[in-house]
Amino acid sequence: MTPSATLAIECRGVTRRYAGVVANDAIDFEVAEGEIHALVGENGAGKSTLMKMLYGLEQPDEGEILVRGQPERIDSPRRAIALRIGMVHQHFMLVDAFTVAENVVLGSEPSHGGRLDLDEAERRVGELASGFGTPLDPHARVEDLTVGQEQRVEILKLLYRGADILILDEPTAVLVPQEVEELFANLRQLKAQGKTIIFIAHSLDEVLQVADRITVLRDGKVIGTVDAADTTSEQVAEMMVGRPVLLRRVEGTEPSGEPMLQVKDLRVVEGGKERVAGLDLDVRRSEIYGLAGVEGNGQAELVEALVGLRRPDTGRIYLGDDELTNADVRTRRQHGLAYIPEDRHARGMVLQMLVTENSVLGQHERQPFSRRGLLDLRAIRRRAVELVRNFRVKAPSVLAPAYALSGGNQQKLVLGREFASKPKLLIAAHPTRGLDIGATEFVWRELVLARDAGVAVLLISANLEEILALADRVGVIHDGRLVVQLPGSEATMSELGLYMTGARSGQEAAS
Amino acid sequence: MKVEERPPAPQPEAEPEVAAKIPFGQRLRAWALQLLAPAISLLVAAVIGALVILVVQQSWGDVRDVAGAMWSYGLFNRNSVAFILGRATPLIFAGLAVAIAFKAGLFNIGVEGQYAIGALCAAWVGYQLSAPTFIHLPLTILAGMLGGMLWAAVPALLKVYRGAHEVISTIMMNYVANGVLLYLLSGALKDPGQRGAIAQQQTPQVESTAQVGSMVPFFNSIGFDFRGSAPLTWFFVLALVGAVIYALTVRRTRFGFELRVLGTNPRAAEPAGIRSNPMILKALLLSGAIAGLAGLQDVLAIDDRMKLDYIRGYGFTGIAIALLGRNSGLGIVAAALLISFLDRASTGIGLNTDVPKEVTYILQGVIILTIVIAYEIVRRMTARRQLKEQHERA
Repeated sequence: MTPSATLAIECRGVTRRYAGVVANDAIDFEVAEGEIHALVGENGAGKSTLMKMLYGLEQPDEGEILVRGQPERIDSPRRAIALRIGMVHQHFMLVDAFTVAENVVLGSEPSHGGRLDLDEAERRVGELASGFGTPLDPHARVEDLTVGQEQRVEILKLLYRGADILILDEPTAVLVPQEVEELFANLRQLKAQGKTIIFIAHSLDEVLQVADRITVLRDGKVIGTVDAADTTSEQVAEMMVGRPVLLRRVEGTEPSGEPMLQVKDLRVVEGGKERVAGLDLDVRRSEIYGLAGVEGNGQAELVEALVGLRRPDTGRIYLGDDELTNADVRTRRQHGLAYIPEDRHARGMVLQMLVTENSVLGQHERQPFSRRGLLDLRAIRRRAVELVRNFRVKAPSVLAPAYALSGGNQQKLVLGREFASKPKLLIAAHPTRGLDIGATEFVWRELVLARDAGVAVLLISANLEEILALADRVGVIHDGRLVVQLPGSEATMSELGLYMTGARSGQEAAS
Repeated sequence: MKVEERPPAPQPEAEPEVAAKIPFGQRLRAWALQLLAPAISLLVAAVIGALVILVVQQSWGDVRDVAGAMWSYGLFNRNSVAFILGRATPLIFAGLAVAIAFKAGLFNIGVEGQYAIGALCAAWVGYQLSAPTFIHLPLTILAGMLGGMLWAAVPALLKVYRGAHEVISTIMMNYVANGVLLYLLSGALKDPGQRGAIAQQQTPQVESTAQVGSMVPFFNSIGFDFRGSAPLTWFFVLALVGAVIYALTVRRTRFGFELRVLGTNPRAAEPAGIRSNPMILKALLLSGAIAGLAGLQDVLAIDDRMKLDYIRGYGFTGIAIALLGRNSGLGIVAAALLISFLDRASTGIGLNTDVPKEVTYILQGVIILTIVIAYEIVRRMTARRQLKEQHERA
């Protein structure tokens, strides 16, 4: 970017406070016309606040925002759209039952004397879509689309409204690798058409692939803006976290042992559909088994069956030598199962209850926490203090309610609690989802330590970087079936991506 | 296998205050907020009540009269304390019954029917059986609890096995209870000892071995001067004991822990090995058993029999009390005393002023609303401060 390039967006000293907390602290931020600009930072660094101000959902307390060189007061999304600024939220806002065209024109429908002119709408949407990525049928219903296609519909919505500054909030979080590639191709195409793109991202490798410049936020402040061409992901990660970060593969210290979890011919039928379709799986001692897959291919049902939240329709589950196919959750836990649920807020803890109480949840019925039906509050508190220390959970006090902890610290608490149960088998479902780099690094290290201590770890993740960094063996689940099984050191991202999307299947690699 | 045997985590940066308790000042502030909230809401309710009287009666004098009557009669009439404590007794039980179900996330609207059936069972055992007191009285009380439990069992089973919402089914059971009461009191359980046109639909008197004594002599022996007929009985002590047991159960037992987990986040209960159906069953049965105690003071200590004019609304008041008392043992006792005081004060208003005594019902309603609002404000303030502290730490 040459300094003389005109600026699409310029923030000067923008500050935004919430109830005494400074979310954005004197932000200076420039986006040139026609560039792809990535905004990165840990959770709570202030990325979303800044984007919300650009899109008119929030107003700055101090400072000013210039759009194409003019100071503007963006007091509503309506105003933002009038300024040709559009935003795609992380969670799509589409009507499933409507067609692509209907969704795109929703809110500014072409009409003919008060009558909706659908033909006109479809024609214009088709026109827009054809200049942008692979063809998208304007007549298709949104509920039949893939996530990547839905995202394209969201972008079309912005283009239809004439936006030429596009804000994308973590667009890659929901996509599989192939879809990410396609998205990036589309973004480059939009850039070639002169559009300006700002996107928020977590994954640094992706950012470096597609962005022209990268701005890093930390604690509400701009740490710096760098050209993507002359930086590395390590440098950017260090800017984000404030210290060097290591996220790379660590091989196990011990060879994996005998099978700890064995699953034979497991089937789970739900709503007439086989969600898990005759799946065989084994996870060994001192092994991290990474189960990769696009969400909704049976992972959730598989985990529920393994944990005991749901009865499988056929098949058997063994933990060590014990068959636990129909055992309830408590029995399984007492046999050495630990479980880190995907949605820790909803299933892993009770936010309104205290940190102490949450640190024994699921083990509360055991000694020393309970004796003859009575809780031993002291033992419970000792455990909580232990967890808070060993897992460096930042908590105001162990007697504070769990909602007083940040998301990363809540996850650490859940993780610590499950490790502390001295499990034989640990099932971790998307353990780093929503966590920032610092916390992710911590969780990964703990999983590796558990593996090295002899635990059998089943890691379910849609994040291939995570699978590739941790797994000793990788399996890919597609449509309820295990389509391939590979040694972790031999798997590659593109290969796994092909299996995940179902583009390749069948041939089992020896493991 | 031992995860603890990892290289020890760096100790020094683990914040020392984590291990310690919450700082005393902070706890004091939290306590003050908890007490301030109801105090302020009572004040606001009083002001609103005064405004209502002013609008309706258009005289400052009436406001003064009402306040005077509530104060002097409601608190300082010779028998007021006895009335307040005595009338609070069934309300405490009803409040506890609602609260224990609520801890499990269940709304037991059926306390009304449960205590009616409980009282009926107790009355029956009370007059049918003859045995020495130490056998007869516990059996009678047990019968009351079983009756309440039985009435709660129907909605509980319907919920667990058929998924019927407990609000609907418990309300329905109230109507059924009412019908059963009418039927039995005018038929099978009607006192055969009475004749003629003035015959009442009521059971025979319970045996003296199943009666519970008045507490008036005890209070008078420590310096009070209550009239002998004041409705204060040893059930009051039982209610206080019940509140203490309730509080300990909720806070200190495994059952209470599981109840709270299920009630606050049912989706977290399952992965923690807490099975919801058995817990729902236990919570509702326990709630019904406690509800069964609510009606016993009238049957075993005041009327000494079950009468048809029996439906007294304890169950519905109990919901308000559980709400006001925020499902805590102490809070429920306090709320029951407050409602009981307002009830007593309304008698004073009726006797000593020209203002309709219904004004106290308005006051009751306003108090419930203001307290609920006040606690919500406190909750938000606390949450906001915690959020702020969290950001400051981060």
